[in-house]
Amino acid sequence: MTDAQRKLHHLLLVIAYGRRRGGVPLAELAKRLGVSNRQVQVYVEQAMMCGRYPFSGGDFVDVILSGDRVFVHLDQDLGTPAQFTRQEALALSAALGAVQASRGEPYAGIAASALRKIRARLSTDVQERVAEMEHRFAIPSDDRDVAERFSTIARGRSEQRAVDLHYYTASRDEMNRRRVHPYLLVQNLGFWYLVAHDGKSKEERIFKVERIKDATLTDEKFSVPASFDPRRYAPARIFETTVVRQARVRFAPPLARTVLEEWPRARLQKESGGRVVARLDFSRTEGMAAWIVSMGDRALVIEPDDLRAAVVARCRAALRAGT
Amino acid sequence: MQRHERLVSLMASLMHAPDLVPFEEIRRWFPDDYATANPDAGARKFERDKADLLELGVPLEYVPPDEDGAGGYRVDRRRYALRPVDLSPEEAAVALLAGSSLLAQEAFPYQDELRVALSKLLLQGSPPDSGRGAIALHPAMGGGSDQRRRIEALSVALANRKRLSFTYRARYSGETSRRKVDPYGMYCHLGRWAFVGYSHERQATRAFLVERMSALRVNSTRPRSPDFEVPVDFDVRAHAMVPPWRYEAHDPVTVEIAMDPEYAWLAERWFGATGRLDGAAVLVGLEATNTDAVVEWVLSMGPHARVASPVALAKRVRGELRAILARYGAEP
Repeated sequence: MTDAQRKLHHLLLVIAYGRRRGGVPLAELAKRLGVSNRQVQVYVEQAMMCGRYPFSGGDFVDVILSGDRVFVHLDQDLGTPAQFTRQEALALSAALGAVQASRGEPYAGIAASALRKIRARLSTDVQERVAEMEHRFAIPSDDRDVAERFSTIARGRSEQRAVDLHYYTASRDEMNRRRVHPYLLVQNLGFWYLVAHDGKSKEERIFKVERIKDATLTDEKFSVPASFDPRRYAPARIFETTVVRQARVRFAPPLARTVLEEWPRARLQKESGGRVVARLDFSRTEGMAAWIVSMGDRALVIEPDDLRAAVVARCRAALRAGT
Repeated sequence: MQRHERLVSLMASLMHAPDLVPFEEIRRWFPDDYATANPDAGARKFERDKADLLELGVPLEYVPPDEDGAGGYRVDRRRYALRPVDLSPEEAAVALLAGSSLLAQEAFPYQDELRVALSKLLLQGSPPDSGRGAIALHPAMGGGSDQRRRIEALSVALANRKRLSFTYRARYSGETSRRKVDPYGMYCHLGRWAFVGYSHERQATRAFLVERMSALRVNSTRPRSPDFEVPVDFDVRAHAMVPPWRYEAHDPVTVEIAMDPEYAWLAERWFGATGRLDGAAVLVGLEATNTDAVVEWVLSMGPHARVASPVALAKRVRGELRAILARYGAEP
């Protein structure tokens, strides 16, 4: 979208929103458009300059800023939003399609029905273009077979009922049972996570839905505490709370090259022979050891000692088990 | 008058006009812009404005003169306006949640369009309460402004079917080469943006990670004419959803993994297979075209999984475990 196109859209939306009964708060408009309050004021001034030929007194859009609200009294046929463009329809389709593809019920079904209604309102040519692009643009989920457990958890969340989980804790490499109060479901990088109060640790914890073997709804009621802040689980911070320790791991080629190319440079130190040493955060020794072992002899823990010992113990246990 | 102000006024004037409006009349409406000293410059400006309005979905059309000589431009008010979508509160809430999640993703290619589309949707009803939403989506890792620019350029090339050329650093071989590709589809998987297209060098369809591209060029000749056709049966999901053990590294191999029964469900879910009880273990079978990924998974499961067959693969896993122990100076 070019700058002129973006501004044109914004100007039309200022007029359309201002036409609502009682006007629209300036701050709401700024939030919707993703611009500053000052920019909305500029749009209001520009909207006053718009109108239709012959551009005499009553031909201009009558828009005013009164206090902190924008009002439009005369919109000159511009007060109804324009039909969705091809790109807008595709953007909506991608957003709702991602929820639909996530298999997270009931949200996936709700997203599908919203998509159907939106598609029915597209002009024929936009419908055709979107249909063509739908097979060419996707944000798929990597969770397989997640629907049943997800819907139980989502129901627990909406009805505020506790859920019993049979869960595989990868960081401790153990199966366990626990009762949780589901607060939030987050899909991060293709996988669903449940943020919940954990009855076992009495703390807010993150559970990977893929590792939930069974989920059972109970009759125990709970309420989400006012102190719960979903923003703590924003993309960059989602696993922040679980990081407590640091390891140094040496990677050998060819894995070292990928590490060097893809991981944050500040945590890496190049060595001779194409090797690289990385500083890595981790919370539980067992989970970290499992991950290190999965890379074979191309990853070697330099420190801490207990992590080295855990890697050795895990390899011995695997060999003893007949691997 | 700024350009977007002129575009709004042009739209409003054409929507209100009772008849078709010839360009000569439009020149009179906007003398400073279209009735310039050089008539060609004014006409070109009008053509650019017209193209922008059409791009934004404004139904501006030209009707050629009839036998009475009446012809000109018009904007059909009814076709312009978005008809109410009538979403239920739950649907509006999910649309807002999904949209807001993607707006928070700096690399999402249609950010401006999504913001405008959500604003249009929300105009039609009272805004749903999403402040304490139940779900959130974070499909991609951040990638900085370079990545965002590449994704934007790619999304335009994708929509307009324009050929790309770029330098690509292959993930597995590390080789760097110049590529010429017809982009068929784009996807975001496991936090990474990628696209699939016909590689002229390989003469085959290949997937490329956006973060590994540089010096990206979109063919700029004849920008409104497509450079290629997308195969009718193309579906990007078929490329995006390939699990790592199905990457095409070698001929298919049938593998059986013996699982500790308590953990067998993990293998069944991961490999999408149903296990069968065999003595003290549950055997989970799969067909792999990249056994490296199977070895990696089995190693990660420690004592809870082992390769039952083929024997060569089982031997390889044991060899990996012994090699790890050797690196730590430990006996098996």
